[in-house]
Amino acid sequence: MSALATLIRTEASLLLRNPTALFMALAFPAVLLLMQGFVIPGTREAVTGVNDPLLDGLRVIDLFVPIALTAALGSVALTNFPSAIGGYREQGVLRRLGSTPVGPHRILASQLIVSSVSLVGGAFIATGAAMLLLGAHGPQSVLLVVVTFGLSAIAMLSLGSIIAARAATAQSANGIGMLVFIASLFTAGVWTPGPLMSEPLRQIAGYTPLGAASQSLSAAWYGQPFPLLQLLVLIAWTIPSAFLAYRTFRWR
Amino acid sequence: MTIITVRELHKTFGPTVAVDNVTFSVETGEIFGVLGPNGAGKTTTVECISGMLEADRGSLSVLGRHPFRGGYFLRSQVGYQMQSSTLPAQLRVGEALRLFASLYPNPASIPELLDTVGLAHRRKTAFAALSGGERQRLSIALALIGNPRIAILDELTTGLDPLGRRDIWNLVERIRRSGITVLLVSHFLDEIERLCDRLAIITMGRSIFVGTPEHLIARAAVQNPHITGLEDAYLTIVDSAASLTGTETEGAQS
Repeated sequence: MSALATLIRTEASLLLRNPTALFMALAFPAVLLLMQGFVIPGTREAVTGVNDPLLDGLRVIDLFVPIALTAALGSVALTNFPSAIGGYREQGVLRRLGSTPVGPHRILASQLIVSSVSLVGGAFIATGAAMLLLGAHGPQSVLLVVVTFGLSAIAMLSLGSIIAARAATAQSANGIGMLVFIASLFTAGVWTPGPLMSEPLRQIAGYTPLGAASQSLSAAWYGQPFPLLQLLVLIAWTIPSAFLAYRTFRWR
Repeated sequence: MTIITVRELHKTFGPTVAVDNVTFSVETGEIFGVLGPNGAGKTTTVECISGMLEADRGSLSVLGRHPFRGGYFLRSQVGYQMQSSTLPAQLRVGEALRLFASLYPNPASIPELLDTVGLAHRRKTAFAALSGGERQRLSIALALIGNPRIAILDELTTGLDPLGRRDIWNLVERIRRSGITVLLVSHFLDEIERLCDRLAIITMGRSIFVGTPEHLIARAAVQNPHITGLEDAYLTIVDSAASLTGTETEGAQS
Protein backbone atom coordinates (compact mmCIF):
# COMPACT_ATOMS: atom_id res chain seq x y z
CA MET A 1 0.00 0.00 0.00
CA SER A 2 1.37 3.45 -0.89
CA ALA A 3 2.29 6.00 1.76
CA LEU A 4 -0.68 8.21 0.89
CA ALA A 5 -3.13 5.29 0.98
CA THR A 6 -1.79 4.19 4.37
CA LEU A 7 -2.02 7.76 5.68
CA ILE A 8 -5.62 8.05 4.44
CA ARG A 9 -6.52 4.74 6.04
CA THR A 10 -4.90 5.78 9.32
CA GLU A 11 -6.59 9.20 9.28
CA ALA A 12 -9.95 7.57 8.62
CA SER A 13 -9.42 5.11 11.50
CA LEU A 14 -8.52 7.96 13.84
CA LEU A 15 -11.63 9.91 12.80
CA LEU A 16 -13.81 6.87 13.49
CA ARG A 17 -12.32 6.62 16.99
CA ASN A 18 -12.97 10.30 17.78
CA PRO A 19 -16.67 10.58 18.72
CA THR A 20 -16.68 14.41 18.85
CA ALA A 21 -15.10 14.82 15.43
CA LEU A 22 -17.27 12.07 14.01
CA PHE A 23 -20.43 13.72 15.36
CA MET A 24 -19.44 17.13 14.01
CA ALA A 25 -18.61 15.67 10.59
CA LEU A 26 -21.43 13.24 10.04
CA ALA A 27 -24.28 13.84 12.47
CA PHE A 28 -24.26 17.55 13.34
CA PRO A 29 -25.86 18.83 10.10
CA ALA A 30 -28.62 16.19 10.23
CA VAL A 31 -29.24 16.79 13.96
CA LEU A 32 -29.38 20.55 13.33
CA LEU A 33 -31.90 20.03 10.55
CA LEU A 34 -34.07 17.61 12.53
CA MET A 35 -34.09 19.93 15.55
CA GLN A 36 -35.18 22.78 13.34
CA GLY A 37 -37.84 20.61 11.78
CA PHE A 38 -39.23 18.98 14.90
CA VAL A 39 -38.39 21.35 17.76
CA ILE A 40 -38.72 24.90 16.42
CA PRO A 41 -42.40 25.81 15.95
CA GLY A 42 -43.66 26.76 12.52
CA THR A 43 -40.75 25.40 10.48
CA ARG A 44 -42.95 22.78 8.79
CA GLU A 45 -45.45 25.37 7.65
CA ALA A 46 -45.48 27.06 4.26
CA VAL A 47 -43.16 29.99 3.62
CA THR A 48 -45.02 33.29 3.68
CA GLY A 49 -44.03 36.87 2.94
CA VAL A 50 -41.38 36.00 0.32
CA ASN A 51 -41.83 37.47 -3.13
CA ASP A 52 -40.26 34.60 -5.09
CA PRO A 53 -42.52 32.32 -7.16
CA LEU A 54 -39.82 29.62 -7.10
CA LEU A 55 -40.37 29.30 -3.36
CA ASP A 56 -44.14 28.91 -3.63
CA GLY A 57 -45.39 25.82 -1.82
CA LEU A 58 -42.14 25.29 0.07
CA ARG A 59 -42.03 25.00 3.85
CA VAL A 60 -39.56 26.86 6.06
CA ILE A 61 -37.75 23.61 6.81
CA ASP A 62 -37.22 23.06 3.08
CA LEU A 63 -35.18 26.25 3.01
CA PHE A 64 -32.97 24.83 5.75
CA VAL A 65 -31.81 21.78 3.74
CA PRO A 66 -29.08 23.52 1.70
CA ILE A 67 -28.20 25.50 4.81
CA ALA A 68 -27.62 22.24 6.68
CA LEU A 69 -25.27 21.16 3.91
CA THR A 70 -23.42 24.41 4.38
CA ALA A 71 -23.22 23.66 8.12
CA ALA A 72 -21.69 20.29 7.22
CA LEU A 73 -19.04 22.11 5.20
CA GLY A 74 -18.30 24.58 7.96
CA SER A 75 -18.12 22.08 10.80
CA VAL A 76 -15.54 19.91 9.05
CA ALA A 77 -13.53 22.63 7.32
CA LEU A 78 -13.42 25.08 10.22
CA THR A 79 -13.25 22.76 13.24
CA ASN A 80 -12.30 19.14 12.49
CA PHE A 81 -9.64 19.81 9.88
CA PRO A 82 -7.75 22.60 11.72
CA SER A 83 -7.97 20.69 15.04
CA ALA A 84 -6.41 17.61 13.50
CA ILE A 85 -3.52 19.57 12.00
CA GLY A 86 -3.09 21.68 15.17
CA GLY A 87 -2.94 18.44 17.15
CA TYR A 88 -0.28 17.02 14.85
CA ARG A 89 1.76 20.17 15.28
CA GLU A 90 1.32 20.06 19.07
CA GLN A 91 2.35 16.41 19.23
CA GLY A 92 5.35 16.91 16.96
CA VAL A 93 3.88 14.54 14.36
CA LEU A 94 4.46 17.03 11.53
CA ARG A 95 8.05 17.48 12.70
CA ARG A 96 8.50 13.73 13.05
CA LEU A 97 7.23 13.11 9.51
CA GLY A 98 9.62 15.82 8.32
CA SER A 99 12.48 13.45 9.07
CA THR A 100 11.10 10.67 6.83
CA PRO A 101 11.76 10.24 3.10
CA VAL A 102 8.27 11.33 2.03
CA GLY A 103 8.06 14.45 4.20
CA PRO A 104 5.04 15.83 6.01
CA HIS A 105 3.08 17.17 3.02
CA ARG A 106 1.26 13.91 2.49
CA ILE A 107 -0.30 14.01 5.93
CA LEU A 108 -1.92 17.31 4.93
CA ALA A 109 -3.15 15.74 1.70
CA SER A 110 -4.52 12.72 3.54
CA GLN A 111 -6.24 14.92 6.13
CA LEU A 112 -7.80 17.02 3.36
CA ILE A 113 -9.04 13.89 1.58
CA VAL A 114 -10.53 12.39 4.76
CA SER A 115 -12.11 15.75 5.64
CA SER A 116 -13.61 16.04 2.16
CA VAL A 117 -15.03 12.52 2.30
CA SER A 118 -16.46 13.10 5.77
CA LEU A 119 -18.15 16.35 4.78
CA VAL A 120 -19.68 14.66 1.73
CA GLY A 121 -20.87 11.93 4.10
CA GLY A 122 -22.35 14.52 6.47
CA ALA A 123 -24.12 16.20 3.55
CA PHE A 124 -25.59 12.88 2.36
CA ILE A 125 -26.82 12.00 5.85
CA ALA A 126 -28.39 15.44 6.29
CA THR A 127 -30.07 15.31 2.88
CA GLY A 128 -31.29 11.77 3.50
CA ALA A 129 -32.67 12.69 6.93
CA ALA A 130 -34.40 15.76 5.47
CA MET A 131 -36.01 13.83 2.63
CA LEU A 132 -36.96 10.73 4.65
CA LEU A 133 -37.94 12.24 8.00
CA LEU A 134 -39.04 15.74 7.05
CA GLY A 135 -40.36 15.09 3.55
CA ALA A 136 -38.08 17.70 2.02
CA HIS A 137 -37.76 18.07 -1.75
CA GLY A 138 -34.62 16.96 -3.59
CA PRO A 139 -32.53 19.48 -5.55
CA GLN A 140 -33.81 20.99 -8.80
CA SER A 141 -30.35 20.70 -10.37
CA VAL A 142 -28.17 17.91 -8.99
CA LEU A 143 -25.25 18.92 -11.20
CA LEU A 144 -25.32 22.53 -10.04
CA VAL A 145 -25.61 21.38 -6.41
CA VAL A 146 -22.55 19.17 -6.88
CA VAL A 147 -20.60 22.04 -8.49
CA THR A 148 -21.57 24.61 -5.87
CA PHE A 149 -21.00 22.13 -3.04
CA GLY A 150 -17.54 21.30 -4.45
CA LEU A 151 -16.57 24.95 -4.83
CA SER A 152 -17.93 25.72 -1.38
CA ALA A 153 -15.95 22.84 0.09
CA ILE A 154 -12.73 24.09 -1.52
CA ALA A 155 -13.40 27.63 -0.24
CA MET A 156 -14.17 26.52 3.31
CA LEU A 157 -11.21 24.13 3.46
CA SER A 158 -8.97 26.97 2.25
CA LEU A 159 -10.31 29.15 5.03
CA GLY A 160 -9.82 26.33 7.54
CA SER A 161 -6.28 25.92 6.24
CA ILE A 162 -5.38 29.37 7.55
CA ILE A 163 -6.30 28.22 11.07
CA ALA A 164 -4.56 24.89 10.46
CA ALA A 165 -1.44 26.69 9.23
CA ARG A 166 -0.88 28.65 12.42
CA ALA A 167 -2.65 27.06 15.41
CA ALA A 168 -0.11 25.73 17.89
CA THR A 169 -2.42 23.15 19.47
CA ALA A 170 -5.58 21.19 18.71
CA GLN A 171 -7.40 23.14 21.39
CA SER A 172 -6.48 26.56 20.00
CA ALA A 173 -7.38 25.42 16.47
CA ASN A 174 -10.72 24.16 17.71
CA GLY A 175 -11.38 27.37 19.67
CA ILE A 176 -10.63 29.66 16.73
CA GLY A 177 -12.45 27.36 14.32
CA MET A 178 -15.56 27.23 16.51
CA LEU A 179 -15.61 31.01 16.81
CA VAL A 180 -15.43 31.46 13.03
CA PHE A 181 -17.92 28.62 12.50
CA ILE A 182 -20.57 29.99 14.89
CA ALA A 183 -20.27 33.44 13.33
CA SER A 184 -20.43 31.90 9.86
CA LEU A 185 -23.61 29.99 10.71
CA PHE A 186 -25.36 33.35 11.04
CA THR A 187 -24.34 34.44 7.56
CA ALA A 188 -25.18 30.96 6.25
CA GLY A 189 -28.75 31.52 7.44
CA VAL A 190 -28.98 28.93 10.20
CA TRP A 191 -30.80 31.41 12.44
CA THR A 192 -32.70 33.11 9.60
CA PRO A 193 -32.75 31.28 6.25
CA GLY A 194 -31.44 33.34 3.34
CA PRO A 195 -34.78 33.91 1.58
CA LEU A 196 -36.26 35.16 4.88
CA MET A 197 -33.35 37.55 5.65
CA SER A 198 -33.75 41.26 5.08
CA GLU A 199 -32.33 42.22 1.67
CA PRO A 200 -29.38 44.33 2.97
CA LEU A 201 -28.38 41.56 5.38
CA ARG A 202 -28.73 38.95 2.66
CA GLN A 203 -26.47 40.96 0.38
CA ILE A 204 -23.83 41.40 3.06
CA ALA A 205 -24.01 37.68 3.96
CA GLY A 206 -23.54 36.85 0.28
CA TYR A 207 -20.02 38.24 0.41
CA THR A 208 -18.96 35.99 3.31
CA PRO A 209 -17.68 32.50 2.45
CA LEU A 210 -20.35 30.46 4.24
CA GLY A 211 -23.04 32.95 3.21
CA ALA A 212 -22.04 32.67 -0.45
CA ALA A 213 -21.92 28.88 -0.10
CA SER A 214 -25.36 28.81 1.44
CA GLN A 215 -26.91 31.16 -1.13
CA SER A 216 -25.37 29.38 -4.12
CA LEU A 217 -26.47 25.98 -2.80
CA SER A 218 -29.98 27.31 -2.14
CA ALA A 219 -30.17 28.72 -5.66
CA ALA A 220 -29.04 25.39 -7.12
CA TRP A 221 -31.43 23.46 -4.87
CA TYR A 222 -34.55 25.48 -5.68
CA GLY A 223 -33.83 26.19 -9.34
CA GLN A 224 -33.25 29.89 -8.82
CA PRO A 225 -31.10 31.83 -11.36
CA PHE A 226 -27.47 30.67 -11.74
CA PRO A 227 -25.58 31.98 -8.66
CA LEU A 228 -22.68 33.51 -10.56
CA LEU A 229 -21.92 36.25 -8.03
CA GLN A 230 -21.86 33.80 -5.10
CA LEU A 231 -19.60 31.39 -6.99
CA LEU A 232 -17.23 34.26 -7.81
CA VAL A 233 -17.27 35.24 -4.14
CA LEU A 234 -16.29 31.68 -3.21
CA ILE A 235 -13.40 31.75 -5.69
CA ALA A 236 -12.38 35.16 -4.39
CA TRP A 237 -12.16 33.73 -0.85
CA THR A 238 -10.41 30.54 -1.95
CA ILE A 239 -7.38 31.99 -3.73
CA PRO A 240 -6.07 34.39 -1.05
CA SER A 241 -6.97 31.98 1.77
CA ALA A 242 -5.06 29.11 0.18
CA PHE A 243 -2.13 31.39 -0.60
CA LEU A 244 -2.05 32.77 2.95
CA ALA A 245 -2.26 29.28 4.45
CA TYR A 246 0.57 28.09 2.20
CA ARG A 247 2.79 31.07 3.00
CA THR A 248 2.23 31.03 6.75
CA PHE A 249 2.18 27.27 7.36
CA ARG A 250 4.52 26.14 10.10
CA TRP A 251 5.63 22.58 10.59
CA ARG A 252 6.54 23.02 14.26
CA MET B 1 35.34 5.10 8.63
CA THR B 2 33.74 8.45 9.40
CA ILE B 3 29.96 8.47 8.86
CA ILE B 4 29.07 11.92 10.28
CA THR B 5 31.26 15.01 10.18
CA VAL B 6 30.26 18.26 11.88
CA ARG B 7 32.66 21.17 11.53
CA GLU B 8 32.25 24.63 13.07
CA LEU B 9 28.46 24.37 13.02
CA HIS B 10 26.56 27.58 13.69
CA LYS B 11 22.79 28.04 13.97
CA THR B 12 20.71 30.96 15.21
CA PHE B 13 16.97 31.47 15.69
CA GLY B 14 16.39 35.20 15.34
CA PRO B 15 18.57 36.86 17.98
CA THR B 16 19.18 33.59 19.84
CA VAL B 17 22.40 31.74 19.10
CA ALA B 18 21.51 28.06 19.56
CA VAL B 19 24.73 26.55 18.22
CA ASP B 20 27.95 28.50 18.06
CA ASN B 21 30.84 26.38 16.82
CA VAL B 22 30.27 22.67 17.28
CA THR B 23 32.79 20.24 15.81
CA PHE B 24 32.94 16.45 16.03
CA SER B 25 32.86 13.35 13.89
CA VAL B 26 31.22 9.96 14.33
CA GLU B 27 32.72 6.66 13.19
CA THR B 28 30.70 3.85 11.61
CA GLY B 29 29.31 1.37 14.13
CA GLU B 30 29.98 3.35 17.29
CA ILE B 31 27.61 4.78 19.86
CA PHE B 32 28.52 8.43 20.01
CA GLY B 33 27.12 10.51 22.86
CA VAL B 34 26.17 14.17 22.66
CA LEU B 35 26.19 15.38 26.24
CA GLY B 36 25.42 18.74 27.76
CA PRO B 37 23.13 20.68 30.06
CA ASN B 38 19.56 21.58 29.08
CA GLY B 39 19.47 24.28 26.41
CA ALA B 40 23.08 23.67 25.41
CA GLY B 41 22.26 23.23 21.72
CA LYS B 42 22.30 19.42 21.55
CA THR B 43 18.92 19.00 19.86
CA THR B 44 19.57 21.83 17.40
CA THR B 45 22.84 20.14 16.48
CA VAL B 46 21.21 16.78 15.79
CA GLU B 47 18.33 18.43 13.92
CA CYS B 48 20.95 19.95 11.60
CA ILE B 49 22.55 16.50 11.25
CA SER B 50 19.18 14.92 10.46
CA GLY B 51 18.51 17.55 7.77
CA MET B 52 15.49 19.02 9.52
CA LEU B 53 17.26 22.34 10.06
CA GLU B 54 19.68 24.11 7.76
CA ALA B 55 22.84 25.33 9.44
CA ASP B 56 23.74 29.00 9.07
CA ARG B 57 27.47 28.29 8.85
CA GLY B 58 29.91 25.41 9.05
CA SER B 59 30.09 22.15 7.19
CA LEU B 60 28.11 18.98 7.72
CA SER B 61 28.42 15.61 6.06
CA VAL B 62 26.29 12.53 6.71
CA LEU B 63 27.13 9.41 4.69
CA GLY B 64 29.13 11.72 2.44
CA ARG B 65 26.20 14.03 1.70
CA HIS B 66 24.94 17.36 2.94
CA PRO B 67 22.07 16.50 5.30
CA PHE B 68 19.79 19.42 4.39
CA ARG B 69 20.19 18.71 0.69
CA GLY B 70 20.52 14.94 1.03
CA GLY B 71 16.80 14.52 0.44
CA TYR B 72 15.23 11.12 -0.06
CA PHE B 73 18.47 9.11 0.23
CA LEU B 74 19.57 10.48 3.58
CA ARG B 75 16.10 10.51 5.07
CA SER B 76 15.81 6.83 4.29
CA GLN B 77 19.20 6.14 5.89
CA VAL B 78 18.83 8.15 9.10
CA GLY B 79 16.25 7.20 11.74
CA TYR B 80 15.41 9.91 14.23
CA GLN B 81 13.82 9.38 17.64
CA MET B 82 12.80 12.86 18.70
CA GLN B 83 12.90 14.25 22.18
CA SER B 84 9.41 15.71 22.27
CA SER B 85 7.30 14.14 19.56
CA THR B 86 4.34 11.93 20.44
CA LEU B 87 1.63 10.26 18.41
CA PRO B 88 -2.14 10.63 18.22
CA ALA B 89 -3.64 9.16 21.40
CA GLN B 90 -5.89 6.66 19.58
CA LEU B 91 -3.23 5.41 17.15
CA ARG B 92 -2.34 1.79 17.90
CA VAL B 93 1.22 0.47 18.06
CA GLY B 94 0.84 -1.75 14.99
CA GLU B 95 -0.82 1.03 13.02
CA ALA B 96 1.95 3.48 13.85
CA LEU B 97 4.56 1.02 12.62
CA ARG B 98 2.59 0.21 9.46
CA LEU B 99 2.16 3.91 8.78
CA PHE B 100 5.84 4.74 9.18
CA ALA B 101 6.87 1.59 7.27
CA SER B 102 4.89 2.90 4.29
CA LEU B 103 7.07 6.03 4.25
CA TYR B 104 10.35 4.17 3.65
CA PRO B 105 11.60 2.35 0.56
CA ASN B 106 13.01 -0.65 2.44
CA PRO B 107 11.20 -0.99 5.76
CA ALA B 108 12.09 -3.45 8.49
CA SER B 109 9.84 -6.39 9.31
CA ILE B 110 7.21 -5.10 11.75
CA PRO B 111 6.88 -8.38 13.75
CA GLU B 112 10.67 -8.61 14.10
CA LEU B 113 10.91 -4.97 15.16
CA LEU B 114 8.11 -5.42 17.70
CA ASP B 115 10.02 -8.36 19.14
CA THR B 116 13.25 -6.36 19.21
CA VAL B 117 11.70 -3.50 21.19
CA GLY B 118 9.57 -5.81 23.32
CA LEU B 119 6.19 -4.53 22.19
CA ALA B 120 4.84 -7.60 20.36
CA HIS B 121 2.14 -8.05 23.02
CA ARG B 122 1.11 -4.37 22.72
CA ARG B 123 0.56 -4.34 18.97
CA LYS B 124 -3.13 -3.43 19.27
CA THR B 125 -2.71 -1.01 22.17
CA ALA B 126 -3.44 2.68 21.64
CA PHE B 127 -0.55 5.07 22.15
CA ALA B 128 -2.37 6.76 25.05
CA ALA B 129 -2.48 3.47 26.96
CA LEU B 130 1.29 2.82 26.76
CA SER B 131 3.59 3.41 29.73
CA GLY B 132 6.42 5.93 29.44
CA GLY B 133 8.95 3.19 28.75
CA GLU B 134 6.73 1.56 26.15
CA ARG B 135 6.25 4.91 24.40
CA GLN B 136 10.01 5.33 24.24
CA ARG B 137 10.44 1.82 22.88
CA LEU B 138 7.82 2.54 20.23
CA SER B 139 9.59 5.79 19.41
CA ILE B 140 12.84 3.86 18.96
CA ALA B 141 11.02 1.30 16.79
CA LEU B 142 9.77 4.12 14.57
CA ALA B 143 13.33 5.40 14.26
CA LEU B 144 14.43 1.92 13.16
CA ILE B 145 11.50 1.07 10.87
CA GLY B 146 13.28 2.33 7.76
CA ASN B 147 16.29 0.02 8.29
CA PRO B 148 18.57 3.05 8.83
CA ARG B 149 22.36 3.04 8.90
CA ILE B 150 22.32 5.81 11.50
CA ALA B 151 19.92 6.12 14.45
CA ILE B 152 19.65 9.45 16.26
CA LEU B 153 18.20 8.94 19.73
CA ASP B 154 17.39 12.16 21.57
CA GLU B 155 16.87 12.11 25.37
CA LEU B 156 15.37 8.68 25.13
CA THR B 157 15.34 7.82 28.84
CA THR B 158 14.12 11.12 30.26
CA GLY B 159 11.25 10.48 32.67
CA LEU B 160 11.81 6.73 32.91
CA ASP B 161 12.33 4.78 36.14
CA PRO B 162 15.63 2.89 36.67
CA LEU B 163 14.24 -0.39 35.34
CA GLY B 164 12.81 1.31 32.28
CA ARG B 165 16.13 3.04 31.62
CA ARG B 166 18.02 -0.23 31.90
CA ASP B 167 15.65 -1.86 29.39
CA ILE B 168 16.21 0.98 26.95
CA TRP B 169 19.98 0.79 27.42
CA ASN B 170 19.91 -2.94 26.59
CA LEU B 171 17.88 -2.09 23.51
CA VAL B 172 20.39 0.53 22.37
CA GLU B 173 23.20 -2.00 22.77
CA ARG B 174 21.24 -4.46 20.61
CA ILE B 175 20.80 -1.75 17.98
CA ARG B 176 24.54 -1.19 17.88
CA ARG B 177 25.20 -4.93 17.60
CA SER B 178 22.95 -4.96 14.52
CA GLY B 179 25.44 -2.65 12.81
CA ILE B 180 23.62 0.66 13.16
CA THR B 181 25.63 3.71 14.15
CA VAL B 182 23.97 5.44 17.10
CA LEU B 183 24.08 9.14 17.89
CA LEU B 184 22.80 9.36 21.45
CA VAL B 185 21.79 12.72 22.90
CA SER B 186 21.59 12.77 26.66
CA HIS B 187 22.24 14.70 29.82
CA PHE B 188 22.59 11.55 31.92
CA LEU B 189 26.19 10.68 32.69
CA ASP B 190 25.47 7.10 33.72
CA GLU B 191 23.81 6.56 30.36
CA ILE B 192 26.74 7.99 28.46
CA GLU B 193 29.22 6.00 30.56
CA ARG B 194 27.33 2.74 30.07
CA LEU B 195 26.64 3.08 26.34
CA CYS B 196 28.97 5.43 24.52
CA ASP B 197 32.30 4.70 22.88
CA ARG B 198 32.99 8.41 22.53
CA LEU B 199 31.20 11.63 23.32
CA ALA B 200 31.05 15.32 22.62
CA ILE B 201 30.19 17.77 25.38
CA ILE B 202 28.23 20.77 24.19
CA THR B 203 27.59 23.72 26.42
CA MET B 204 26.43 27.23 25.54
CA GLY B 205 26.24 26.11 21.91
CA ARG B 206 29.89 25.06 21.74
CA SER B 207 31.58 21.69 21.74
CA ILE B 208 34.12 21.85 24.52
CA PHE B 209 35.27 18.25 24.51
CA VAL B 210 35.33 15.31 22.09
CA GLY B 211 36.77 11.95 23.09
CA THR B 212 36.25 8.77 25.10
CA PRO B 213 34.82 8.78 28.65
CA GLU B 214 38.27 7.72 29.93
CA HIS B 215 39.82 10.57 28.04
CA LEU B 216 37.35 12.99 29.65
CA ILE B 217 38.35 11.82 33.10
CA ALA B 218 42.03 12.14 32.22
CA ARG B 219 41.42 15.60 30.79
CA ALA B 220 39.65 16.76 33.98
CA ALA B 221 42.31 15.15 36.17
CA VAL B 222 44.82 17.58 34.70
CA GLN B 223 42.85 20.33 36.44
CA ASN B 224 42.01 18.33 39.57
CA PRO B 225 44.03 15.16 40.30
CA HIS B 226 41.37 13.86 42.73
CA ILE B 227 38.85 13.31 39.94
CA THR B 228 38.21 9.65 39.16
CA GLY B 229 34.58 9.51 38.02
CA LEU B 230 32.85 10.68 34.86
CA GLU B 231 30.39 12.95 36.69
CA ASP B 232 33.10 14.96 38.44
CA ALA B 233 35.09 15.10 35.23
CA TYR B 234 32.07 16.36 33.29
CA LEU B 235 31.27 19.04 35.87
CA THR B 236 34.88 20.17 35.96
CA ILE B 237 35.04 20.50 32.19
CA VAL B 238 31.67 22.28 31.94
CA ASP B 239 32.49 24.63 34.82
CA SER B 240 35.71 25.66 33.17
CA ALA B 241 34.04 26.00 29.74
CA ALA B 242 33.98 29.78 29.97
CA SER B 243 37.75 29.82 29.99
CA LEU B 244 38.03 27.50 27.01
CA THR B 245 38.13 29.07 23.60
CA GLY B 246 37.83 26.07 21.32
CA THR B 247 37.15 22.39 21.05
CA GLU B 248 39.45 20.06 22.91
CA THR B 249 40.03 17.12 20.63
CA GLU B 250 41.55 13.73 21.18
CA GLY B 251 44.45 14.77 19.02
CA ALA B 252 45.04 17.89 21.03
CA GLN B 253 45.12 15.91 24.25
CA SER B 254 47.44 13.15 23.19
